[in-house]
Amino acid sequence: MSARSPDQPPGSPRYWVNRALVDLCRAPNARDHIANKSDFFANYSLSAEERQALLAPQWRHLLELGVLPNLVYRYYMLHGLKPESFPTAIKGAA
Amino acid sequence: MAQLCLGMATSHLAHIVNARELGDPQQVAIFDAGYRRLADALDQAAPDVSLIISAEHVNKFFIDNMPAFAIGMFDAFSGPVETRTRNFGVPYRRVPSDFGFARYLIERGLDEGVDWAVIESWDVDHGFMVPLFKLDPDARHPMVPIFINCASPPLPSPRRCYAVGRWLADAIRQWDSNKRVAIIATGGLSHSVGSVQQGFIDVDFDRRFLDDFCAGRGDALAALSDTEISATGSATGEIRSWIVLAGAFAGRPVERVMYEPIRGFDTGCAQCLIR
Repeated sequence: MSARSPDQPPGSPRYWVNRALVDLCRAPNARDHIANKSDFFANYSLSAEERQALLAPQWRHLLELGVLPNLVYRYYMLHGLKPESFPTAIKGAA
Repeated sequence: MAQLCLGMATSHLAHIVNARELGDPQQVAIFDAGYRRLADALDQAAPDVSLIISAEHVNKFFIDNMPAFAIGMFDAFSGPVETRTRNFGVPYRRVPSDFGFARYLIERGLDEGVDWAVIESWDVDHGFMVPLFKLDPDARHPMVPIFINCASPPLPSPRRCYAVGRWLADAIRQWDSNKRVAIIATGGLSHSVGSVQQGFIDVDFDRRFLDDFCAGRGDALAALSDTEISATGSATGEIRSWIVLAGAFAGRPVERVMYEPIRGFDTGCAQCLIR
């Protein structure tokens, strides 16, 4: 898990990165937010490592940070990528 | 007293309605034929109310408040929620439910150690609505939806799921009602969504699981470990709904309707009937 400062809001180590992603995935205009990811995630309490994994995106590293697999896949699909390319993408470098 | 008149289990993946071309046509036809058999069985049994048990895919619940088990308590629910954001291939619709039955199960459970979370409004997802679209497209059968956490560890153990199934059977038998009740379990078998295993189907595990399920080996199902299940796929944990069903129908003969590992669907697809 990535380092957190003590002044961050309470939650489990994986909470905020999952919170950010589920809010995006559930948004009716989720695809629009993909084009402005840094704006969307700006107000979430994320470590630098988490923010970088979301913005890159680093699919496998998101799993390693504790993001629920279902959300990783939904985030992937929101980028307009083909489902058949996911197995290769997720096996890539973390 | 109420009567448990029919049980069935089916995989619930949406490919069967919105990405059929990805599957081998012969296997897809077998899956379709299985659904028709289950639909006929439901019509013939004509239950007054059914429980439909499924995982949920982070559409309603999230890790800020994740129950192990929950029941919908209302007169109707709707879905699939996925249609809010995209064309999903399944029409958004309303499904009648049974408030009184749900309330009975909740109150009895709270008194007997099955502490259901309660849902009073629910746009359910494909785990419920894909099977219902195939089994009951005109929404003629009232359904009480039951959620099991299969998405965010820690998950309820298979042993607990089996015990909840046993409890459900007892609670239904003791319900002061002349209604006939069916139970529909959905999900599984082995598959992964969003993990490094995506695309892998563990056929050996699926066949062992089905052998135990169809032979009524409840002890074997209850003894499965989360480690063993999750090793076969990140979403294989949905077989918890099947294990609840096995507990509810312990001792009753099970008919294996179909099993096909459909590669294009990335899922071991299975269906069973219990009369």
